[in-house]
Amino acid sequence: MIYLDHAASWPVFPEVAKFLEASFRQDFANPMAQHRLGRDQKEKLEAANDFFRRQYFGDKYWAKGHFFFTSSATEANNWAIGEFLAGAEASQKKEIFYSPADHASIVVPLEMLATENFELKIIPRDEQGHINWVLLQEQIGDQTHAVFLTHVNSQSGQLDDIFYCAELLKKKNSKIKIHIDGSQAFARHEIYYRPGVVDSYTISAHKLGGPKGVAGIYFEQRPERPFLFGGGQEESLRASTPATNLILAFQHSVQLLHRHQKELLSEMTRFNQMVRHHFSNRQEVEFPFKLEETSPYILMLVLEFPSDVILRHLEMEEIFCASTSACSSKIKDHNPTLADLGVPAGKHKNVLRISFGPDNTEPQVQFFITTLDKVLALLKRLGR
Amino acid sequence: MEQAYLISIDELWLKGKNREDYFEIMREQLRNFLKERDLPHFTINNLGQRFLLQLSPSIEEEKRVQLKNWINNDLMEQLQRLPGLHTLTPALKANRDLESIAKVANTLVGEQLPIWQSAKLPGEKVTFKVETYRTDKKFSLNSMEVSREVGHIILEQFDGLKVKVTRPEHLVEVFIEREVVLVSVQYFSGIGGLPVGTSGRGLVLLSGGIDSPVAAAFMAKRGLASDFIFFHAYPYVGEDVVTKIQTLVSKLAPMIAPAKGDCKLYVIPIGKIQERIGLHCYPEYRTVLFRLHMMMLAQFLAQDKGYEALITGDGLSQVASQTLTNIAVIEKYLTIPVLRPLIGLNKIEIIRHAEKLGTMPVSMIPHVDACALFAPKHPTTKANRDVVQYFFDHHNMEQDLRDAIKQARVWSFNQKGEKIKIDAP
Repeated sequence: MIYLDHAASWPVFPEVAKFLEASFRQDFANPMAQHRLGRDQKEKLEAANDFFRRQYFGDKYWAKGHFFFTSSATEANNWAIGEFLAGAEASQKKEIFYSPADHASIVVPLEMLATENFELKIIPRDEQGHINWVLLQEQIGDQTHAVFLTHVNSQSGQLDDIFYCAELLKKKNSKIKIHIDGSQAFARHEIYYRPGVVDSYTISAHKLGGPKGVAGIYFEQRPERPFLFGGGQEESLRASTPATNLILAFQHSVQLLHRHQKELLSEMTRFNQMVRHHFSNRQEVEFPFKLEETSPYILMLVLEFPSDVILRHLEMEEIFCASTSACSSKIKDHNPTLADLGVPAGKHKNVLRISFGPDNTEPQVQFFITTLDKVLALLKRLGR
Repeated sequence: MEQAYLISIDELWLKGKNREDYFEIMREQLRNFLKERDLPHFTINNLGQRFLLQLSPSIEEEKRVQLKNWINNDLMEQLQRLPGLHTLTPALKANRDLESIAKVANTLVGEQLPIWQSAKLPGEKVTFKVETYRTDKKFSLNSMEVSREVGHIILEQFDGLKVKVTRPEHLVEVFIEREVVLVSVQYFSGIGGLPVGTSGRGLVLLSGGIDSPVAAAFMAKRGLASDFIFFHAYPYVGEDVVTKIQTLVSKLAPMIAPAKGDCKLYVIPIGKIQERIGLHCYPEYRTVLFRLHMMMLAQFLAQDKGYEALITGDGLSQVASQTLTNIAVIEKYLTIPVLRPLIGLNKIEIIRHAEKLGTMPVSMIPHVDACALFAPKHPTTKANRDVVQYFFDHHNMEQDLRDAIKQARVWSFNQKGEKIKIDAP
């Protein structure tokens, strides 16, 4: 099997699976319990929380913000939206900037909550589909309340120097709230954290070798209102028995990945280049986004044929990839994500996304290239 | 006043010595039909040529009221599509005397009159007549007398009515049976025909379009119990179309499943076979050769499973594969009878039937057609037999077709249209 759909979900690292198995046996007590077993669990959880907060959102000894574990990146994004939009309800009409190309867990709630209090504005992009930061900075004014950004776009792989750009926006209006969805970036790309620039940042475990069912969000300011009500967990802001095992496994997978971050990036770049290089002179394959502008983990191809047909041909050869990002693949023909990214409407159904991970090898990528070649040749013959 | 339903059977008069059998089969299907809908509340009595359907006396009053609406709307509509039923008549029970019959008739007419009048000009009278059927010859008045008396009482009660003996707009029917006396003022026509299953078993080639579900319904109406076969061009098309086909079968199942308790859907992977044909024949022959291989595959399955005919939604010259020349070329390679109940219908007629049947909205759901990739720009409408034979001589696909049958996915649909996956053939 050749798995090239890591942007949808990674296979759990074997080490993490082993760790989980042991953890399910050992770490069973409720961390809220008063006895020693419970206290031990609580300590482990606090250490995990510190790990994420300090490692990525501060220097090693100091961290300003608050980190919370959630059950999914969707929950984390929803939480940030709820927190920031509620904070503005009383005042006069406000602008919210977002991209239709973002994940549905940002786009859907924003479009749902846009009331007379909020005006949704689409972040300007150039013809190639890149965010026009200069224009965005110009558009931000006193009315602007929040900006929702994505660190690595799950469809195109576009990667911006997001913290630098966020700083530019804050310079224009220091009061705006900036949320970043880092689900596709965290622990794979550097986080150049600077205090006072980003108000919240979402991370997710199942897109970096951890289990599904756990994610997290960093808030620079303590959220003003609880997100889930109940017991006193997570500073009384998100009541729920913490998923201790999943959280510890999350930490474990990030630590594993962290150690190899640089080698992995260069390996993914190599895979990415192999594919680009092979098809570079071919009319029937286009790469709308340059490698320099994207995360090498994600590679988007626009083909001459419907990508779902190609996806199924590849699947017959045990190669698995995506025709559009998993969450929006129900939308037929017109895809707002792709439209926002500057892909012409006629080609939306021809978009194939492959996304690499540490389990991929060079022969696998080579086999993918050969197979895709064969499939394209077959379709070309049939299409005569 | 208590509700009851009279159900009459179609074409029983055509039958001779096997009349009893048909009657029994119909009764059995009706009973299962009601049982499947979680309604053990009914009793079915035979009244000679008719069934009398009543809510059983053990059901409490409150539940009765609830059920009444459901029966009058949903159940009647569903029963209208059960093959073999001629008419469905909702009625009210009356006591065995003229006064009671007239009272019930007045109640019913009172309910319906505003509806009847809404179709008339102001001041114009609604025409009606009372028709009495008296099987209980002990009843003191004969049917003419009952009709006259009841008609008189109705006229006295309501202003806007007028009796018209020939071709009245509305009929007030009085049934004086030995078991019960009933009055009704409306009836619904059933789909008619023969109880499904009494004409044998067929295999319907479903395409996902408008025609084939209508063809299946036409044959069910003639008593044929069918299963379905769908050719899934995986990997050229995805799973969406399978979901659509399943929805179509679940719409048809209530009329077809009563025969043997379920109907089956075989989903056959055909993409690789189409691919092989597509790569090795003249592009303009693809359509007719695809079609031919599908029919051959269906014939293999039919021979294995004992289906006596294939059913298609072909309409003459509707598309390239349905020209007489191409139909003839295809049939040359088949031994099983192919039934084409829509052969002489116009598209608009088929659409009307599909709308009545309720399959039209499902058929209209867009789905990716495999042919989009394969479709020749100019498919031949006059396939040459020798060209087709040449393809056969050089590309024997029998093993591929038989392998595809082995890879079929099969679902079984019950009368309510619910599906379960079952083992491959």
